[in-house]
Amino acid sequence: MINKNAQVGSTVTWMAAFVVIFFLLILYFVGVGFLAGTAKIFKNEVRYIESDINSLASQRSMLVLLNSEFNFLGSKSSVRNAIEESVNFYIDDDLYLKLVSYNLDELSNVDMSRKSEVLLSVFSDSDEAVRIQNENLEKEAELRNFLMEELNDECYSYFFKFPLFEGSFFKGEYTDVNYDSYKLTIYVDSLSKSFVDFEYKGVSYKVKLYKAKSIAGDCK
Amino acid sequence: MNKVGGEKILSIWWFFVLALVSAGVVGGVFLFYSFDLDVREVESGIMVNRVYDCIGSNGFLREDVFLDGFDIYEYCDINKELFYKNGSEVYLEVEVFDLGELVFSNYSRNNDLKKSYDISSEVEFKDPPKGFLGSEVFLYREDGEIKNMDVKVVFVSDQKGESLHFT
Repeated sequence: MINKNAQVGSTVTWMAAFVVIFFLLILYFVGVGFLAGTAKIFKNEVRYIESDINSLASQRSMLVLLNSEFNFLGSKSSVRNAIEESVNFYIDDDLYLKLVSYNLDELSNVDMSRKSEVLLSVFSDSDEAVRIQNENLEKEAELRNFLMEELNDECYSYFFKFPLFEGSFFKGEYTDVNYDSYKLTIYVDSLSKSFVDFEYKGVSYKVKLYKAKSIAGDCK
Repeated sequence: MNKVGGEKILSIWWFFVLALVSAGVVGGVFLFYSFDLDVREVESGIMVNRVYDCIGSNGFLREDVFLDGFDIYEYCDINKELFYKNGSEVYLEVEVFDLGELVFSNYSRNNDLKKSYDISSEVEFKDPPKGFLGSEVFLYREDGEIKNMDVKVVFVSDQKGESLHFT
């Protein structure tokens, strides 16, 4: 027996190893069983996250919106052209770009009085400045009115943002809110987002359209 | 020098450990392969998006859709045979409406699949086919005027386990 000590020692080691491996295996099976019972991936189905499935559709609806035509300042124009015509005015003058540190996407956060000050500093003739300001406001209003018609849906609320204004459109009504406030007003966890980049004279800006489906009533 | 007995004891535990590890591997593989992965809904969503991307361009519905002899399968590079063979497990439906009037339609062969899919939203039954119903608006230029057209695309799938090549 004295000569068998080494063999007995390793046998005991493997006995202990067996017990350890056995319990590890039990834990493994329990873990797999738990996942099979609770985790969604084991529910036999692979599902899209709604925002994924809608993101392509959302991008397409964005393109439809940008290419839609409406009466803009007395003549037919696409939304794309109307946006460019409205925004490019602010790119043409360096003073506006300085106002937003050359990030035109921030222009919607600049209040009207600051814009007016810049306008008055650009034009020595104050009447001309007021006329241009009114014209810009008219452009914004016409664009907003068209969006109110176009983004009028019983089940979807939209958030539209471009350098001149941002807000939500729901059931034919426009609310002047920023994105954070918009997120608080929608009661869905999925939001499909789309955006298109515009560029003029080397300055780029984004037009964003977010869409969320209401979970209330028949929309569910 | 008589170590035979000791080796016998060790061999038994070795076999126990081998058996245990083998059982673990076999059990793991069995568990892995026993779970079905149902991708029918995802597959349907992808196909619907593919059809929309094919018949539309930059927000406009392609004019080719209204040409005589337009074959949506050929145009969109979709394997038509899968939709028209006997016992087809996939169904595609494309409808274009102009102010509520149907101006283009294409329905694949297995309409029963679509009926089962429609019924499954109202009546609960075992393992109904899965599908995706898309309804989008596209622009269409006609006589210099741009108008909206509603495009409805439905894809229903009841195929499981077989790898189909849609293109």
